[in-house]
Amino acid sequence: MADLIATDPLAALLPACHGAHQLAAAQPARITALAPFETKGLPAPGRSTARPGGITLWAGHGLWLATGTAPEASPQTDATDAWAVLHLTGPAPEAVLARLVPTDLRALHFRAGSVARTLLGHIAVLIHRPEAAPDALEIWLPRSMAAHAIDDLLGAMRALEAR
Amino acid sequence: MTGIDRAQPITFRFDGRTVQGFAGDTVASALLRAGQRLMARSFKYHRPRGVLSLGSEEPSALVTLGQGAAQTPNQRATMVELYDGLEVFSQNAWPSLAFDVQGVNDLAAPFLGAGFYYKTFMWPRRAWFRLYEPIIRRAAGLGALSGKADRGTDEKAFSFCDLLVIGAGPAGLMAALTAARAGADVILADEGAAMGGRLLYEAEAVAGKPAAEWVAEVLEELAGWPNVRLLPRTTVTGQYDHGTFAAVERLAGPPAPDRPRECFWRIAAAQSVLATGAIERLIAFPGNDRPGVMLAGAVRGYLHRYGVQAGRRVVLFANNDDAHRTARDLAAAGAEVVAVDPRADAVAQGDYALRAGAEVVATRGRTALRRVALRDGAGRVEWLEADCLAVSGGWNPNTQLACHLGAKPVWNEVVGGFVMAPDAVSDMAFAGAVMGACSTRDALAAGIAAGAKAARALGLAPVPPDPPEAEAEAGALQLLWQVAAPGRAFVDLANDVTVKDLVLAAAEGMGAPEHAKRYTTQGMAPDQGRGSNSTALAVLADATARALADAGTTTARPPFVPVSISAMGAGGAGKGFAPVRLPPAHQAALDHGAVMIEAGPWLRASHFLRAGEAGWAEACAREVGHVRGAVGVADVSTLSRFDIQGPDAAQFLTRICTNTINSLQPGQLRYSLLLREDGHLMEDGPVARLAAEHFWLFTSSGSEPAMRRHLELAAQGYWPDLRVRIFEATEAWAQFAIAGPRARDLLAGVLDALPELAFMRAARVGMGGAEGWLLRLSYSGELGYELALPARYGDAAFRALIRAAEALGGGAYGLEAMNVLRIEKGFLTHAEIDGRATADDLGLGRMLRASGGFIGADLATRPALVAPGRKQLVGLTPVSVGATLAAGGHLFVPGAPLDPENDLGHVTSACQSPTLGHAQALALLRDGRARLGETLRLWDGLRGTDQLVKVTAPTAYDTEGGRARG
Repeated sequence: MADLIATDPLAALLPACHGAHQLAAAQPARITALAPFETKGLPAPGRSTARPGGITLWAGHGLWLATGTAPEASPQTDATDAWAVLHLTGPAPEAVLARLVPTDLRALHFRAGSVARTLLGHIAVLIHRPEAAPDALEIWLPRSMAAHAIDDLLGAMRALEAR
Repeated sequence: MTGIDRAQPITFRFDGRTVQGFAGDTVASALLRAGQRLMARSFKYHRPRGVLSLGSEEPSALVTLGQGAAQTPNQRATMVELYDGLEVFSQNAWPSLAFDVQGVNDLAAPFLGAGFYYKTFMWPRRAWFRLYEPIIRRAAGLGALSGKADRGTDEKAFSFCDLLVIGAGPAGLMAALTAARAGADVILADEGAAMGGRLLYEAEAVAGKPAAEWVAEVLEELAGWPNVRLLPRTTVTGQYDHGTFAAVERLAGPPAPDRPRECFWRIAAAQSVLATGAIERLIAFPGNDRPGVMLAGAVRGYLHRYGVQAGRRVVLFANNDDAHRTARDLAAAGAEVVAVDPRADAVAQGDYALRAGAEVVATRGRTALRRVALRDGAGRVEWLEADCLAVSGGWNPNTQLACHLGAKPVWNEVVGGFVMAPDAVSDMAFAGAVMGACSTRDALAAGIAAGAKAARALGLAPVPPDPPEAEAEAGALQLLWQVAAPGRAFVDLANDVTVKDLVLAAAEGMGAPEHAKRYTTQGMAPDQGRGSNSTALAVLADATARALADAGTTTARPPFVPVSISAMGAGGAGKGFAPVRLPPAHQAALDHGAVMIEAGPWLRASHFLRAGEAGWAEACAREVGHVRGAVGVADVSTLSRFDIQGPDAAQFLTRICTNTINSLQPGQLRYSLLLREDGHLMEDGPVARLAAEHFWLFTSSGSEPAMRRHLELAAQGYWPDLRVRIFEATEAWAQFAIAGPRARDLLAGVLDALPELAFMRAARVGMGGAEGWLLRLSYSGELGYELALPARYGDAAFRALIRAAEALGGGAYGLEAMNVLRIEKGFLTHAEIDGRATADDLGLGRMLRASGGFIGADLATRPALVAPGRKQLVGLTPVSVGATLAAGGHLFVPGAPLDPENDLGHVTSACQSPTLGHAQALALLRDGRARLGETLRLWDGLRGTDQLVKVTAPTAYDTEGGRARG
């Protein structure tokens, strides 16, 4: 049998641009969900840390997501296909997300390396301000709801642009 | 310095007539300039009304904007900014604003007093809903909705700040400036299109320059601070717990695609400053509601900000020095002015005539004011020609937002109004008129103090600036609430409530403020009585011989101004109602003719329509045939999947599930039940042991939130000693059912290698470069497998599986066929696991291990859950050949009356079985297992069907189960 072709849930929808804001896919090659019994060295709640070859995000109670090579931790499970990751850039990505996210994302409080487990409209998401690109906001979405969330995000970008 | 730009004319229409205004105008200011004083009809008596005020407190000049689906009623003409092409309509009038038939209500006014509805429409009781209420609703009421679906958009947004300053008058501006300079993250919100509050409407100086210029300079500095956000056109409408505020922002300009009309903000603020100022109040005298009667401060404001002179012959009726500025400024602008002041010692402040010690006792003019009657101290009455009567009875501080959390304002005799005590609300400072600082100088100083207080509370070190030089006089006042003279003196213009109504309420025992409010409807209009409450309280205090300070106030509640439901619910219409989840193979299903239905948040294929098929029933019957005769493939990725790991994972699942899990070997599956704590059946599904410390637990589609809660409570709360971790893994996998006698042939063709799998066994497999799991289980009763692959391969895999199935004479099948297959087999869904059924009710009692030790074990054995008479799962077939069955019908012994006590149960699921050749149903039937073979009456009141059915065992097809195990 011929090789199966992988489908990217974001490919047909992104990148997209409204006014000065851009939404693009930022899918890591590999994501591992970690829920280890020993949590030493993992980022504190609400934070991310860089590792050689990837980053680790706090992702909720007793849960972390690691990009790149999976770190030594047990239990863990492959979550590469569970998440769709987006990058929102522009002069005020916080203003776009203010239409959907009930969390304080002001750069003053939500510093580089911050992670919030919150809502985007109805959808439970992670918002991350990457150390590597502190002016951007990264949105981690459940794969099945990526299309719905992108629709919401583009609507918010359009509404802001139309002001 | 006016706020309009005469170089930018704007044309709009009022009741179809073209009116010219300028950029910066409101509908009210443009209509006034155009000489249109009649703008509306009143709520109850349909009396002609003009504009009273220039702010959001406007009770009279309510208009409708737009037509058709875009029609928006009850907009305040004082708040609507002009744009080219704006369509404005008067409302509550027929056939026209100038001649309104329901104006006859006004003649009936003597009979329509307080409590009229309660007294008149009590009998006969049933007539209220059918007769009286519809008539009253048609007669009263303001603008109407179009009845068409709204096509415009609004939005919701969240915002966070250190300090929210509410109101950008002199106090608010200084509070924002003081805190901003100290480094606080400040939001300054003001409901005006321009910030500055009263300073924009007065001819006075601040810091040695015209007030409006000073305002512009402060705003420029504020706009330059990166830590300041200015929100003009934004009314803070409510204060809620933990420093949360609601605010509604009006976006200016003509409708445009994608641009919201309003934004409903939720603002979380660590500190707040309330600087909402005050609004002027009327005096209750007869005829105080005619078009042309306006608040004195508004008359001044229209002159200074909009360049509109509200009248050529102006009478001022005021009890305070501040209002004399209106006489002074209008006289300076060329109007003929007579000031009427009830204070015998009043002194004119400019070149105008003064009648000290006099009162206004009557007015004349049907659709516009023509004459005003004065009565001097000796009782002599004099009639004056007038086209504008400017009234001021003092000012009511806007304390409402401070009261939303329960604080009460206190009466202040000097201010002549209710004000807030300094620490009445935690984390909220007061500045300006709300705390009694009414002169410009006092307001500026209070703003600085409030801004500094808030900054210090935030841990900052503010350096309070010196207050700018400004007017120090607030103006002396002698309270005057009502004029004793015959005729109707209005207190609440929005709801047409008069002094007489309030006096009647007091006489009838409704004299307490909260009682009088409900009895007379005073203060129940959209303005919540902002302009009329203190006057009403004073009239009631007088009527009940109490001091105003002791009588108390009514309770202010959010919202401070009316908020459109479309703004509060913004984003919730259509697709915004709930999120849509798409399985990985969604597009592949669509490409194969799938018709989607909602299954919880998921979109799933109901059936796959092929060319020439008439509809779902035909497609469904064909798909059932694929599975029973060849092979079918179905997308089951939506099932909830929990990845459970850890040394104690087996022990954990043994306590969660009713059957034994720790005896499962890696590579084995077991069909399991989960009970609620109360012993009822909650979920069913397979558990797969992938490795010694690694399990998958499958539960129904969309059950993740509830199941996750259940599992985490058990793991974290009941047994924190167990070393177990739970991952939600639904999203990561695509999973497909492959079912039918040729399932093995299909898999042999697509998998890298087909393992030899016994029933309820699992093994790793590969398919086209993808690594996954093959599980041997069946929800159809046929030889069945489920293939799990990483989600990214779902689309390609489903296409390949459908192709392979079609090559073997089968094809894809959807939820409809899945349902038929499981009903034929007597398998369960949540139609049967309805939260009231026990495992035993559904014939699964043997799956509860006798040794107990699982959640729900103890309560599952309580008497009520094991006693005779419970409803048990059975199958039903119709007695008449060709009859159909539907879920929802109720079962009775033939001949028994159709009473609830004779109701033996109901049909949970039903289908037309192509395999059996007749309709087949599942039902929960009282003592059902003892009734096999009986004939019962199936009555469905909803569908109007009534037929006889035969009770059978739940499993109607392949009762031995050999096909699935083979």
